[in-house]
Amino acid sequence: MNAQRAASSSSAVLEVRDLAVEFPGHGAAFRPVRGVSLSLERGQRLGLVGESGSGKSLTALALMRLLPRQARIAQGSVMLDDRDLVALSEREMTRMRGGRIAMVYQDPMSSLNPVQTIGHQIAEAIRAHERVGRNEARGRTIELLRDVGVTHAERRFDSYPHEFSGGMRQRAMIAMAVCGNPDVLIADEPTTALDMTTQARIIDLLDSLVAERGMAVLLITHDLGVAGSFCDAIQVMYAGRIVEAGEALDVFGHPVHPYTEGLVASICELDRDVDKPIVTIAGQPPLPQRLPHGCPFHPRCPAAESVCSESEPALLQLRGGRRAACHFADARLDRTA
Amino acid sequence: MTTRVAYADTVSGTGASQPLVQVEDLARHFRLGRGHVVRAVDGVSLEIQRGETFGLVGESGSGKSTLARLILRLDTPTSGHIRFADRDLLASSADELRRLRRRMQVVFQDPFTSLNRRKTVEQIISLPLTVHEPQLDRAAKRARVSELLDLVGLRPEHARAYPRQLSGGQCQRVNIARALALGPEFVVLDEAVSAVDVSIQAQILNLLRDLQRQIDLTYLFVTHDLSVVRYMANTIAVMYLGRIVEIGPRDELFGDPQHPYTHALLASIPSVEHRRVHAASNVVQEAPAGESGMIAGCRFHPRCPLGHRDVCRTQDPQLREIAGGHSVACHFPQSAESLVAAAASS
Repeated sequence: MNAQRAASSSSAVLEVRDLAVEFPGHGAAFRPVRGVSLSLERGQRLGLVGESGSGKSLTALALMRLLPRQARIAQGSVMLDDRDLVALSEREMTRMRGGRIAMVYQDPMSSLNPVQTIGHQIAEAIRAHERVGRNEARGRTIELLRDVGVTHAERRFDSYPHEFSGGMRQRAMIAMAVCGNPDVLIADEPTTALDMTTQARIIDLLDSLVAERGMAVLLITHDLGVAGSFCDAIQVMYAGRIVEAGEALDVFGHPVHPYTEGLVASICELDRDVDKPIVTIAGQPPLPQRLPHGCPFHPRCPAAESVCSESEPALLQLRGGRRAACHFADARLDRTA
Repeated sequence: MTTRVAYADTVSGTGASQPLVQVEDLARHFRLGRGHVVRAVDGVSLEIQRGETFGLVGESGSGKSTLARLILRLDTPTSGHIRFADRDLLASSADELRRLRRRMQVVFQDPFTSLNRRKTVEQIISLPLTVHEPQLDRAAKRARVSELLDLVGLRPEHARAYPRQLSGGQCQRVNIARALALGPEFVVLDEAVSAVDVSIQAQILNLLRDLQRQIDLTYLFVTHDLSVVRYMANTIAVMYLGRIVEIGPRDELFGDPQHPYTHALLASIPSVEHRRVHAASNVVQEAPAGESGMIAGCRFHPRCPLGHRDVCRTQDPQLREIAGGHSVACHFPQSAESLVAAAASS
């Protein structure tokens, strides 16, 4: 497939190929993630955007091998350098998690243990990956907390999660995630639960971590603004597949896929004309159990033609590193250029 | 809608120029024990005109939701006055309050948890009718429900569905239909589009604007999202730690914002079109953890780039009008350029 060829490049730290996640379901099994490929280089920030139910969070959980019990990776590979995470034993994977690939979640309150101090939890995480004594772990934790912008880190070491503000908790979570110096950080809606001014500062923090540590970041979000302001590259998910991929500015500035175009048009941005209604995408995303035949977007697509209900378009390589899964991708790219 | 006819006399009787909602020096303090008091709402005054959308914007802890609850009388203020349609809400008898309440409704943030999952859409929407209009027979109620479903863009067959069979956007439409069931004049929308996806948010915003025009509603639109509040509201108040720090007509407030906090909020909006400039968001410090109300002087001074001045630390600034209807509570109100310059030089 074109998409796979485009994704393979020698310098990638993380290379996901044709990943599918399957749930048993009543009657027939269904796949909320249907063949996702992506590749991340050192220091790259890739945004995986989509609406709820698009499969973006399940993709992240599959990469971490943290899928819900009933789900399984049905196909594909997740290469971290030269090792396929899909093929690792649970024990080997435990060592990978936090060590080579780490994740930050949306809600820091429910991811932290409320009855242990912040410092203790981070120090434990350090000791899980390295043979270091308590005192050294404590010192390293304080240093890390400082790195992620927690003021009075020495004193805050002994604070409990409830004594931290939402932004500080997310900083602590990020400190914990990066304590093992991972190559890849997956951030699943890391700022969604935060205030606007805090969100901006957490994104700044992720920015500086990428710059200083050369980590690759996979940012998963439904917020196109957050994705656009942080990421170099964007992949748009719809109904379990990547429907468009490319440079962030290109994808949002000149979307090729009608879904991306609709999404961008429906953002309520600050300079929107208040006298006009917002252009919207009609209807709602399909359920993974009941995907329409052909292109999964065709029932909502303003540009759909008969071929769209007959066959599902492949994710094709276009000019300028852009990829799109639309039967009319080429013509649409010419139009936007 | 038919139900509105019943109110025609009361509406015209109050005089056209009277605001629908008048809030005066309203406060809600919570005692936490050991002498700690959180001043969630602290000395807020505002007026909401008939037919307008009043936007209340702020971050968590700003008191915007508490203020909305007070206006709906879902909570009792520590002090101050609230008038709705020229009646004193705080002095109203339980009976009068019940009559007034059907004229004011609310839609909350989470479309799923605000619906009873064991009831069908029809049962959910007709519950307020059962309570407030017990004389309606089943056929009349059913007719009203299908009228409401149509109004919010749902199909008649949705009446028999349960919330779990609906998407987030559809659930929020059910919430809106329920809020409109009694033909209210005033609807509080508390983060009503914050939990739904981008494309659904746009649909709901359009729907709310259409409804306002069709059935002449007055909205109190509570949100943390400046872009959304700008699109929806005619008048906007920015809240910070229980106070209104800036208030004005949309074009004045967004055209020439003056409070450093408003600037900070605007600077933190991420854009799809460009990588954000760091310096802009760093204009303010991160919000401190812990309760509000214990800060001497201006409440914003610990985070403010200008907060090192003596007067900011000692004197609480009051709202002062700087242009027609545009007021700011800051000792040194200024436009964006001069603020950035001042922050850089300090």
